[in-house]
Amino acid sequence: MFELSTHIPTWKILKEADLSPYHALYVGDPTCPKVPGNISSNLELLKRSVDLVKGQGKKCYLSLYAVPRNRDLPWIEGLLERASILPLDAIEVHNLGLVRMAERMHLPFSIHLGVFANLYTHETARLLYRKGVTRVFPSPELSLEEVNYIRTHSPTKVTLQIHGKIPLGISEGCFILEHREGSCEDVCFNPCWLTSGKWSLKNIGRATVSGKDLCLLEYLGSLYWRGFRTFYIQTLRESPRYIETVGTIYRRALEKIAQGMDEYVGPSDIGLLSELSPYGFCNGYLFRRSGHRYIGRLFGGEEITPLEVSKEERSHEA
Amino acid sequence: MDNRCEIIVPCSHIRSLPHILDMDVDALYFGIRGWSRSNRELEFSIFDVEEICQKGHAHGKRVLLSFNLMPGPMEVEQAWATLKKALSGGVDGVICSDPFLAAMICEEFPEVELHASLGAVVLSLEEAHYWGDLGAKRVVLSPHLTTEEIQELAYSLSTRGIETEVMLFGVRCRATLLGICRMSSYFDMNLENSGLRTVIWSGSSKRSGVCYRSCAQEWKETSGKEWHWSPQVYWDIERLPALLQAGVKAFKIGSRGLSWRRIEALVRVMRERMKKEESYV
Repeated sequence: MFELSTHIPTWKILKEADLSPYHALYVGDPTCPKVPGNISSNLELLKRSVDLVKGQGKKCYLSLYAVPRNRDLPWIEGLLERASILPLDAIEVHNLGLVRMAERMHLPFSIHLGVFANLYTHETARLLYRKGVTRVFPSPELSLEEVNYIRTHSPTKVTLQIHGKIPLGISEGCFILEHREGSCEDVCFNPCWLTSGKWSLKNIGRATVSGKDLCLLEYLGSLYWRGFRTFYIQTLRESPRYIETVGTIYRRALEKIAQGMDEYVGPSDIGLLSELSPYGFCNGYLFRRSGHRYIGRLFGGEEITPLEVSKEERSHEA
Repeated sequence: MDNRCEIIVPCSHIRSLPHILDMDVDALYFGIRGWSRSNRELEFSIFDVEEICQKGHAHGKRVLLSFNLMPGPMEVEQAWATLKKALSGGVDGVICSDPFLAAMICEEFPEVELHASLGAVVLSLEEAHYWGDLGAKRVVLSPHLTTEEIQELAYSLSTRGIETEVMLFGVRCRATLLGICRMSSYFDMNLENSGLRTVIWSGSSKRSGVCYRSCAQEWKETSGKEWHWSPQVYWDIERLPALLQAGVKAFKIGSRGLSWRRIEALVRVMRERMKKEESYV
């Protein structure tokens, strides 16, 4: 019917969080191999995690380090070689080098292309399909029409992020370690909130994500009926409560939508989500606006003004 | 084996072309309006391509087209049509970061060299080989790589016939790896008209080439501690000898907005440094 997935970076979160709302889990943190307890950097943790996830009847995808350098290739190859006997459903890679590695190794898994891979077109998705990529996470910079175009014009499935902070970038070093005293164990799970005037960001070490949470709850019905079925909630460095609450709200909403119900946003949903998102909400780039804006009637969203609409139409006509 | 290493410089205006052609460089690169990582005013009309190529070739320079923006899914056809038209003007190579366009270039214009752009974020051998498999003759290596990493890549890739290129002067992002950043468009993105490419997503470096440098704002932690994320202009001339020894095939000057006088000064330093390494002259 549909799939709801998220990332579970560590064994600890896998054990602590109630993951019942999710059909599938990406195990491992793709942003940094040094995250303490990172499932995708440790074969033993991976084996235990796969057992646990599969035991719960969920799909299990291994999420690999997003920006490997040469020095990372041997351990990733070794991990994949050993993981090839595990009942994984897919691996998630974020760069074309690892697509090549997976193809070269003739791994028995399908490949999901992750958000850092910069996929912008259906043609690239088609090209990668021939390399074993069965699912793509298009660049968050694409509009809804463009993402839908990729979905309808390529043989790959398309993952659509419906909630959570938007991955904006990934760097070579850890900014938290640079700005705080202590080791990875001490600082890794205390992300830094950054502000500049009204703007906010969250740095989770090597990766920087939006300060606001992308939230598509009020558009979920429209997305579902357009044909989207592969939904993703971004929860890296969020609390187990966040993972459970957001998952539950969206799972319930999607089930209602699939049954044809119109009123799928529950009375308490807005309050609960707002409580978990101190810097507010955005729609990302889906409505062809800067990613940090929220267009809509819920969450105090802004309406598109007639002036903006006509400006945009003029630009198209020109 | 030809050990001569190329110096490649940007050409951003038809008025600076004669000065560029007079320089001791091997190749120049330019973009056509709407399709390169540059401000629109630093790009050329598609109708200028033939003239640039003719003049460049007459001066013994190779002419490279920078076509390194990512088209949206509904723009692929237009991108390819534009690219084909530009290629018929006689360019020697295309610098590209979209895998589909790259594959098309290699298939339909095998005589044109494909260079995997900085935007392709080549950080490892496996990634370089991916581009090599597509048909790339050269990969532009990420400026985030260390000298040792570049040496390792250059040695190894040369055995597979893939050339390496390093940008010796340019802008190195700090908040994210160059080529994987949406910070600017997250905060500020405007749809703009850009000539033939009707709608361009100004603010997205991948889609328009224009980055508003949101990272360079004053960012503060909740504790009040400041984070300094501004991109840095770099000049890696000290790396040149080691990279030459490793077999790096080309050195590029980035930053399309540089004046020709500045480019000339940088080229002079690069050439002098290269001449010191006698075997490469």
